[in-house]
Amino acid sequence: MVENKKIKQVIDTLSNYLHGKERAITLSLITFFSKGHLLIEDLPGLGKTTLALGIAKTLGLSFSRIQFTSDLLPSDIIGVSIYKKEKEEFEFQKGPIFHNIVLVDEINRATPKTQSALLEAMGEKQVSVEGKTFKLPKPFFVIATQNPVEQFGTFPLPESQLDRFMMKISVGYPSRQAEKEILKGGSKREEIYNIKPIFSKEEVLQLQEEIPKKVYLSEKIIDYILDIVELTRRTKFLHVGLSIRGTLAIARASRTNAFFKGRDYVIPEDIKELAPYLITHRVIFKEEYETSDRQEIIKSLIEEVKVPA
Amino acid sequence: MYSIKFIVNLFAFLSAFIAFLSVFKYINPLFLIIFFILFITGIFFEKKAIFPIPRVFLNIFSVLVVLFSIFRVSLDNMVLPVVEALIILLGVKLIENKEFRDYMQIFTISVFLLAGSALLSINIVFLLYFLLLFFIISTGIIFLTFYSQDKNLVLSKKETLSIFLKTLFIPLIAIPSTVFLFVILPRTDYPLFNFLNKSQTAVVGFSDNVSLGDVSEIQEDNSVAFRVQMEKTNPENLYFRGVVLDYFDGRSWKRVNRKVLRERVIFSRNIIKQTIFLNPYGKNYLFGLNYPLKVVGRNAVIYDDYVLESKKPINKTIKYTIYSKLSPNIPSHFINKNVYLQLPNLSKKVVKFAKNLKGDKTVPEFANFLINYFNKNYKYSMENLPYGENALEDFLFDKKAGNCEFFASAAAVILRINNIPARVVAGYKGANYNNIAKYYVVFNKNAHTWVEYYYNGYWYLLDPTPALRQSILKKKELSLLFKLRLLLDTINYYYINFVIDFDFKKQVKVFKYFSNSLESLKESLYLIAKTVLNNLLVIITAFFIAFFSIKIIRYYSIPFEERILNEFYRNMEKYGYIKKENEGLIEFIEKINNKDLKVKAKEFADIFESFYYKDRKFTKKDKKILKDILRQI
Repeated sequence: MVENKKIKQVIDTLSNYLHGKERAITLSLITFFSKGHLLIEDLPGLGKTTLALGIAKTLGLSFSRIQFTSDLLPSDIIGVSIYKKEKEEFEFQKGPIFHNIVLVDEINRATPKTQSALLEAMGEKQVSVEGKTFKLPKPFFVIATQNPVEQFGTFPLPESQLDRFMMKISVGYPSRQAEKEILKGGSKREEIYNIKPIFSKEEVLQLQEEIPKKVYLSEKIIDYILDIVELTRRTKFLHVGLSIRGTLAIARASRTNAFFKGRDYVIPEDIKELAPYLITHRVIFKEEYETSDRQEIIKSLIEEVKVPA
Repeated sequence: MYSIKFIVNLFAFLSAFIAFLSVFKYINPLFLIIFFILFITGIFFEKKAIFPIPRVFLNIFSVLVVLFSIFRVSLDNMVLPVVEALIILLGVKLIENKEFRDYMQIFTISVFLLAGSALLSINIVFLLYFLLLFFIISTGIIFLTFYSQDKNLVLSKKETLSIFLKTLFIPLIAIPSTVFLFVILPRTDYPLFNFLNKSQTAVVGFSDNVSLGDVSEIQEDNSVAFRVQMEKTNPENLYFRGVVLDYFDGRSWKRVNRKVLRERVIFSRNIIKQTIFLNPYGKNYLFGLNYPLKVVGRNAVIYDDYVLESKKPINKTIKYTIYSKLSPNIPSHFINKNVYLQLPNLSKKVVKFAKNLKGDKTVPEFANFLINYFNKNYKYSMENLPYGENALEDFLFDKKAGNCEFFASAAAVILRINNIPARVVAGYKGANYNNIAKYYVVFNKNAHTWVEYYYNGYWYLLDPTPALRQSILKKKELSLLFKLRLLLDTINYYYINFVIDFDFKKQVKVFKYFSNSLESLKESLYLIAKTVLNNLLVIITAFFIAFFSIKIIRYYSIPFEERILNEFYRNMEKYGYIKKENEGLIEFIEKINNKDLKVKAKEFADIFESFYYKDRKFTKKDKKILKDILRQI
């Protein structure tokens, strides 16, 4: 349960538009406030755009959406230099990536070249075009989606690239009750554009900086995280365990989770709760376990680790 | 609806009660009362579902009970202390918070107690207890299996009944096969299940009177009469003397005249020692190679015709040693000729026939002549034997075929008519030697009768039965099956010889030997025990001081956080909430159903974690707050 008042307000607001999806909303916000990026693996039409748009609006941030296709070029997202007759020089036209929140639809449809241009921008928080460096706006949050079913003509992201996303979640079908509500109320997409921001951009930035400073990560918890990491590296289920980037992500996300819950210290539950979303896409499963429910395997691995208290 | 726990408890207590019934007559009333109290307490505890006595204390108590009973065990009183210890252990098990293994232990101890009751006395009631316990335990174990899978299982009346009825098949199949095993297993000397054995003896064919014409089935009997442990010897010598028959009434031979041997037995050359394992056959005679002089290992009388008679009938397999002199003629200086010349009223035809045969031959010549005569003119047969009043005449003049009894009877009668003292000897002839284990096995089909006649101060052996009999037997022995049987008998022999040895006393003797050498050890143990008892108070005090100081030291050697957390866990455990190692504290508290408890536990956890996970030290005030909350839990 989220205890932080303002965050709770954001979640409540977004819940109006995404019935029964508090969990997905919370996870997205945790990723956002941990300065990570989010990968949503889901079927189309389950409210991914609504989620991204809703977050942008409630947090008072700018939003853009890029539909990835196989003929999309890096310049299509980053931008191009155009010759301006008046000024007699090339002027850089910023691409859609220059927004606070960028929804990248079907990331696996674009060619690896385009994909890596995006991923580089995500990692560096800046783009270089023709020797000039352009800072991306702050905060910068990418929500990428991919369709788990349609694999034909796609370029699946390699595990090393997946590692750049802090969490991989799925929204999933709404419950019967929630879907009934949706049918009664009709699509509320239009209304989203009119949401009054709950945070200002400055507040958001401040919060992003504050969380790691405010929330204490005890040595016991660090040991607990390392126990988990170590287990992923030596368990029989996994080929490749967590990277250091993964370990860092766990620490950052658990801090944000604790903060959301109104605590200024991390407890094991903060980690246990997020671990499946933080770990599953970063590790490589052994062939024989490829087909089994990966999240369940990760959950069972976490259950093997003894908590500090 | 019944909970599985209730059903299993029912069977456990029932089996304990029946085990108790089977022994309660023999045990000390003190143990009886203790068990009874434990039994009632056990039921009470189960009903209230509380088990206030920690397992550690019960275990210590059980060990003490066992030690106590070890001290009480002696050679004269071996079973009772064990039974009494077992009944207390059973009682202790009943008041424990029972898990799967405890139920199994209850069932096992019950079986042991029942076995113990069989050692204490032989009573047909045992069979009743045995059957009851068998049914209860086999059904109980099936329910216990369900219990071990799901402790909270609830069965409807119908399901319970269905499981119960299906389980009944187990004893229904098992008991008959068990009884079968009882019958075919070799019998022990110790009176365990002895009442089941007695009917066995009727099967065996050796008889102490020889009736013409109705004993033919003996020669067909393939069961083992006895086994003889000895060196291999000439097959000619293999006459095992059983009983001497002196009175003939025209149809059958009987033993009428008995006189205890007064002549001193002189041990000279040709003495052969045999150890005989005699299977039960219901009569008293002991067998030995012709002719036996002395028997060891069995209370027996030796008669002047060298017949050995045991004081008690042989109703179980026994072992004895016999010394025989291998000689076909037995010295005997004084005989009552009237006894050995007795004859019934015989037809003139027979008398005339006998006299004609003798002619003017000397006695030894006549004996040889008889053997040859029978060999030439008569046939050995086991079928279609003459019978009835004139069986002997039929044999001599019409059928001219019969078994050894006819030949022996005829020869003895012919000898007696010619004024030569004669008697019929029944026993066994021939045996099969087992080269592996070095013993002879004698089958009931080896039963044989022969004749002894008196001449010049000696009884001479005369076997008038044609040698054909041997060849008939031989033919059978050649079969592969028979050889296999002989081979398999080795196992039987070793089993009898080494495992049971038919002599419980002998085993006790061995035990005694060992226990004597352990006596000094025992004495020192007694000494220690005495010292312990004398200083009991001091020792107990010292023990408690040591116990508590270790506890205190251990308590303060661990940090406060861990201590208070453990205390919290213990408190929660009382409510039945046990935290798993991989569970976070809050996660654990989420599972609590009791609202008030949950609030208190949450309060504790929040305060605790705010220190613990911020690596802060507890101040005295914080400690007090935490302890206060704990007290309220």
